[in-house]
Amino acid sequence: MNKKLRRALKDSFAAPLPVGKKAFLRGVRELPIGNFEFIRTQIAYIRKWVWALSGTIFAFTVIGSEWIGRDMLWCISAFMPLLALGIITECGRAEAYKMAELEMSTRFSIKSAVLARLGITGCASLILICAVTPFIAMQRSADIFRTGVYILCPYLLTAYSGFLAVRKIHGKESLYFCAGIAAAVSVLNMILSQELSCLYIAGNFIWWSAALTVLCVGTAIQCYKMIKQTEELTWSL
Amino acid sequence: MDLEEEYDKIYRYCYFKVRRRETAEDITQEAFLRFLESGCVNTGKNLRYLYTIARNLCVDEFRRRKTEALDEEAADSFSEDSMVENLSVRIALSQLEETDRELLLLRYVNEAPIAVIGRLYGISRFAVYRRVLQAVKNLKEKLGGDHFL
Repeated sequence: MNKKLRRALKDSFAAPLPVGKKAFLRGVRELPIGNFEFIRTQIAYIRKWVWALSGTIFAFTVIGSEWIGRDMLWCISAFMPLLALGIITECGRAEAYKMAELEMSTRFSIKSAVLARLGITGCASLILICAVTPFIAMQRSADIFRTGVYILCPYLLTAYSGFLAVRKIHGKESLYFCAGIAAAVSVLNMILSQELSCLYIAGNFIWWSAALTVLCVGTAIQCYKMIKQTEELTWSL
Repeated sequence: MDLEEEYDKIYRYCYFKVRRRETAEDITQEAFLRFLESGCVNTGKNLRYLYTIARNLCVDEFRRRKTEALDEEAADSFSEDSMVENLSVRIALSQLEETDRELLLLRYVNEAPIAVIGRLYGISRFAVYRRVLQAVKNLKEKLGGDHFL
């Protein structure tokens, strides 16, 4: 069909101008949305590599515990900082790309989005850790709780340092810094588990428990401060 | 999905169906409200669903009208439009079948993707393509030796 005929068709199907369009669209954009629906929309915005990494860790654990036969603990706990990196980059994305102020004026505030993503990725990580821990515990013939603590510590250390970095360093550099932290924790974890295996003996578990408690509290504080910081941005608008 | 752009397209589609500005606008707004409440707007993939709602609402309007006396003066007849420009195209369109006109509107005026039209009618993409080509051919035949050809 040639352009002339196409244009003539458009003219022929022209309708009188709608009267209530602007008022309707203004009202429609403020339609309320339920919490569940909001969380569902946020899941779609979480980058695929975060899910792919979680799936890979789980598959690696299952395959490793069944067929490789070597101690998987150091390996999986070395992966945990990368998982934490996923959460940090998801929650600090607006800040890193300097879009936080713009996101304040959107339909859903950045605070709600950060909270939702923090909840989604945090729950996903928790489910993953709960899923992989029994496999590793079975392979090591060790206590599930103790294995869980060994896995959670590097994860929380990365999360804590990462959130701190996102809050203190602005722009894209914060993401590079977080990636550096994740890599450093991962390497440190591998070195400790290989060279200082005495750290993992039952007698030292009390120190691991103490470290876990401190890191849990620290990460929770950092999360709270990060959300508070986004609230403060609203005032600067 | 650009709601403003889609509003114009759905409104044009409804107007084509019901031929009354107020009714077309009411149906458009009702279709959008139902569409937004379904949550499909966030997926950005369900343009077909929006068209389906609008079409069903137009059908409901026809059923309702059958029970009432049709106010002929209120309805803007296709042939009584202000045909100053492109008169020959309007006349040719008025001689086409309703389905051909609808297909031409959807494909060339609203620029709906073939896949969306296919799902709206419940036919394959190939069948849509064939029907659209046939509708264009019919239009050209009605236009005869017009300068559009």
